[in-house]
Amino acid sequence: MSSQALERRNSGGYLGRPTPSGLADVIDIILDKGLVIDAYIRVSLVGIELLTIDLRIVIASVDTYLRFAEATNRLDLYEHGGKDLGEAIGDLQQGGAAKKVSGAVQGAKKALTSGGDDDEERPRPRKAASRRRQQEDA
Amino acid sequence: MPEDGSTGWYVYGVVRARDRPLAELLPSLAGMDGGPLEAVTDDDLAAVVTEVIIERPRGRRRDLISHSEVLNALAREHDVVPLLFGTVVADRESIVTGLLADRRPIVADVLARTAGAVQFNLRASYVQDTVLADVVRGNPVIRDLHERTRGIPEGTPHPDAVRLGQLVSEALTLQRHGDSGLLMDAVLPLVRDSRVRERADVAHVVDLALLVDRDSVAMLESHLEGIAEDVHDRMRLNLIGPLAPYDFVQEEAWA
Repeated sequence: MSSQALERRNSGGYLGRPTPSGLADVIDIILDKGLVIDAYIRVSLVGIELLTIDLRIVIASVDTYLRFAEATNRLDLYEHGGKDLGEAIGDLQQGGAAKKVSGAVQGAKKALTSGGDDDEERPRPRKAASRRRQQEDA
Repeated sequence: MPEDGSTGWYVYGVVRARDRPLAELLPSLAGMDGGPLEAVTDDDLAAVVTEVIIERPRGRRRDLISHSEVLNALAREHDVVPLLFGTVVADRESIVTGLLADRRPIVADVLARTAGAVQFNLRASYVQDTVLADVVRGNPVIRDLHERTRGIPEGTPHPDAVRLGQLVSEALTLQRHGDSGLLMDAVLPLVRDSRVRERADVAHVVDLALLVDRDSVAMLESHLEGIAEDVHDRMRLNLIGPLAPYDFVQEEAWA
């Protein structure tokens, strides 16, 4: 068990029960959610738009792939080096042929009939069947 | 508050007013700008509101938190239809005509669909290093690229680094497909309704809004605790709530 696993336990359990107190959490929960009525007076929402972009939109691109590569390369799998390499070199160029893939939630719902008690033990699906963007059930 | 048109009514949401004294409807906490919570009723519906200065823009941290605190406090006791953040109406008559009367069918529909239930947000994320290490060990091409790109400074768009990131991203997407499916299969039978919430980062697995019967909350929590324990070496589960049913106002998910 990693040290991370221990420190994230709340109240003796493995299920985290965070109280959403941070701005990003609250925005994530309430923004764009709720009944819209015609009779309202439009009021300006200072700063919300920028935060929305930060939270909701991730375009997979060269930039995104580099983030994955960097996260991978920070791993110290072989117990030598690795962690000191990241002296941040800026000047990231995004002009390349950015393949767009959906950053949205993807997941093929598997037709498990057992309810998953045993299957949840160590789900290691290496071969998910479908790569289509999930639309149903959403 | 001045009565010269410079004030309006911030509307948090709508609850059923029947059979209850109004005072019992309102949580004992301050509302927007520290103002008191009030109820505006029409027949069996009540809008929960606070009188506010219209001119001041809404969007500060305090405003967002106030909106969510009031709605979540209401949701703990009552069925509530949350309104969009930032909804300010000119006067009390407009609340009745524009919301409680005109929108009555929609409000009633949401109240019916969410009656006796609260929302929880369930967020699953990978223990990033563990899952990435699995990906590297499990794929010879990725392992080779990982070895070759270790000397490349971060942020350098070297073709090998881009290729590595792309392959890792694709491998994680496959894992995400499977893991989110397993999780949903385990959880969705326990809830009345659900929505997949959009989210994306390296460690993300799935983010679900769950509409949970109040009677089922303890069972859901206990079940999730078991799942969280089973997967804790590679995944973290966080459950946020109870919340007002923000994601279930729309009958269908947002496209």
